Amino acid sequence: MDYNPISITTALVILVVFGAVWIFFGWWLGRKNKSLDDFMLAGRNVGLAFAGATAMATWITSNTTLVAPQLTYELGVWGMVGYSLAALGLILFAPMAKRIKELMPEGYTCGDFIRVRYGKTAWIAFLVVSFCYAMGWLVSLGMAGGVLLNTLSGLSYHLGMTVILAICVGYTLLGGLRAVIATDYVQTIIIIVGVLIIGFVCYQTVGLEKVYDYNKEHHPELLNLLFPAAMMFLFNNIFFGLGEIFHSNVWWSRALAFRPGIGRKAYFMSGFLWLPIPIVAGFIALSAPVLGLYPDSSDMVGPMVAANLLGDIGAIFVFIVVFSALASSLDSLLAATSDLVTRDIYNGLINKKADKKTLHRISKLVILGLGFVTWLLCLPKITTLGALLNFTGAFVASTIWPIVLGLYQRRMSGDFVTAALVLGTVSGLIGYHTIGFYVAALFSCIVSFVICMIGLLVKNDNFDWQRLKSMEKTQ
Amino acid sequence: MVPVFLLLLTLSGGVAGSLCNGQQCSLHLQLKDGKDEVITAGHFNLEWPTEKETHASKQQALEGDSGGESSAIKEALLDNDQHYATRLKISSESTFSNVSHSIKIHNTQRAISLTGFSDGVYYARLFDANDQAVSNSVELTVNHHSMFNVWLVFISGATLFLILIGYMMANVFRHKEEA
Repeated sequence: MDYNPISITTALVILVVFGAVWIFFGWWLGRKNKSLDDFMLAGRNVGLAFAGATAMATWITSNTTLVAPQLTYELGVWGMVGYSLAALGLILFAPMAKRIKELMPEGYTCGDFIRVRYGKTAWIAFLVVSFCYAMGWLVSLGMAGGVLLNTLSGLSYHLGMTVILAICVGYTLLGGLRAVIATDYVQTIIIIVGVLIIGFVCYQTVGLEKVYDYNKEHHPELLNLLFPAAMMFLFNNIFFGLGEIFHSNVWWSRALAFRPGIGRKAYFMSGFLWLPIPIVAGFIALSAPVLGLYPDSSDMVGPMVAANLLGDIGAIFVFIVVFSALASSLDSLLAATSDLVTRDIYNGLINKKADKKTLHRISKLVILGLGFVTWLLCLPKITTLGALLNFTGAFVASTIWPIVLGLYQRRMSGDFVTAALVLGTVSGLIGYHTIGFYVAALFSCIVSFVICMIGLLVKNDNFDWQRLKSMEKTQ
Repeated sequence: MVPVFLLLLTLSGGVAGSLCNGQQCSLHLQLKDGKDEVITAGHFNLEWPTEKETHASKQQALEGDSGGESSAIKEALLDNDQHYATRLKISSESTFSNVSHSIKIHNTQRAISLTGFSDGVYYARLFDANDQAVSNSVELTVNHHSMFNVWLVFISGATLFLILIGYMMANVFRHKEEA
C-alpha cells in the first residue's frame, strides 16, 4: 500500500460530491422551516427512529472513529473499555431527557435551565464552561477533517480542514436542526455498516491471537490491566462522557425537540447501540503494530489500519465513513452552539426584546461566525485530538453534579453551583497540566461534587419547579 | 553543478550536531513532547522535521516530477518531502547491539507515534536501506506513574461513580412514584 492510499484527485471528487449532496439536502429540508422553533428544534416533533439515529450519530463522532482507536493505541485495553463506557452518558441521560421535557416544555437551551434554576452568576459561569467545551469540540472536529484527508490522500491539512468546515457550515446554515437530524439518520447507517465491515475484515485478516502475541512481546503495556495511566483514565473518561452529555446543548436541544415520551427511549436505545462501536474501533488500533503500521500521529491510527486492510477502494470507503462521522457531529454542534449563543448571550444579555424573526436571523449569523472562529483556531494544529478533547473534560465534568442536583433537588443553591463550576474546572486544568489528560475530568468532578454536597448541607434554596415552566427572563 | 550546489545548500542549512559514520547526520530525530521529558504513559512521539531536507527531496523539487502538476501547486496541496531513512530502530542499549523494535519508515514520513513501552531507558535512531545511521540517537526515559497514586485516583473515581449511580437510580425511581 502507498503511504497515502487515495489520490488527491479522488479525495477532492469525494469531498465535492458529498458536500454537494449534504448541502442540497440541507437546503431541501430547510424549505419547511417557517419559525424559530422549526429552525432550532425541528418543530419539537421528532419521532423515535430519527431521535435514536440523531443521538447515536452525534455521539459517533471523530471521537469514536478517530479518538477511540487513538486512546486504545495509547492506553491499551483499558483505553478501549473506558472509551466504550462513555455510552453511560447517553444511558443515564435518558431519564433526565424525560424530566427536562416535563420541567421546561417551552425551553430552548440548557442555558435557559441554569438561568432560571440557579440565577445569573451561575448561568454566566455555565455559559463560559459550555462555550469553552463547544469550541474545543468544534476545533477537534475541524482538525480531524484536516488530519484525515492528510493521512489518506496527502492533501494538505489546511485545505482539507477548510473544505470540510465549509461543507458542514453550509448545510447547517440552510437547514437548521431539521437538516442536522435528517443527515444524521443517513450518516448513522453509513457509519455503523462501515465500522462493522472494517472490524470484521480486521478480525479475519489479523486475528485475536496474533494481536495478543505481538503486542505482548513488543508493546506489553497495551495488554497490562495494571497499566498506570490507563487505570487513571478509566473513570476519567466515564466522567468526561457524562459531563459532555449532561451539560451540552447538543443533547438538551434534542431532548426538547423530540416528541413527548420519545427522549427517554431514544437515548437508551442509542446508548446501548453505541456501546460496542468503540470496542470495534479500538480493536482495529491494537492490530496496527502487528501490521507494521505506526502512524505519524496516534489520532490517525484507525483510518490508517482500515485503509491498509481494505486496499485503495477500502480507503475511499474509510474516508466516506469518517467524513460522515465528522459531519454528523460538526453540524449538530454548530446548530446547538448557535442556539446557545443566540438565546443565552444575544437574547439573554445583549437584546432582551428581540423577536423570533430577529433571533432566527441572528442564529444563522452565529453559525457562520462559529464556523469562521473554528477555522481560525484549527489553523495551528496544536495537539492531538485526544489531548484536545480531554482538555475540555476539565470544564464539562464540573457540570455533572450541578445538572443532576438541579433537576431533582429543590435545595441546591446557585452560589454553590457557581463555586462548583469554577473550582471544579480549575482543579481539572491543574490535573491536566501536572499529571496528564487522563485525570482532568475526574479531578474536576471530585471537586465539584464536594462543593455541591457542602451546598446541600448548609443552604436550602427550596426552588419552585413551576418557575421553569414559565421560563422567566433574566433581570 | 547541481549536486555541488545542493551539497553546499545542505551544509549551509545547519545540520544536526550528531555524527553518522563520521559525517554529519542528514536527519535530526527528536522527541516531540520535549527533549528531557520523562514519559509517564508509555507513549511518545518522535519527529524529524522538514527543514532538514535531504538531497533527494531538493533534487526532485528542482527537476520537477512526472505528475504533470506544477510543483508550486503540488507543494501547496501535498506534504511530500522525501528522505533516505527506511527504518527506525529502538534499543535499550545506546550501541544498538540488541534492537527491540525495527519499524519500517516511509520516505515521506516525518513523525511517528509509539506506544506500550514499559519502564526503562530506550534509544531510537533512523537508518537507511544499507543499515547506515542517518540521524542522531535519541534517549527516551519511560517511568510510569507510581501505583500508590494510581490506586488513589482509581478508587476515588470508582467511589464517586458509585455515588452518582446510586443517586441517579434513587431519584429516577422516586420521580416515577411522583408521576
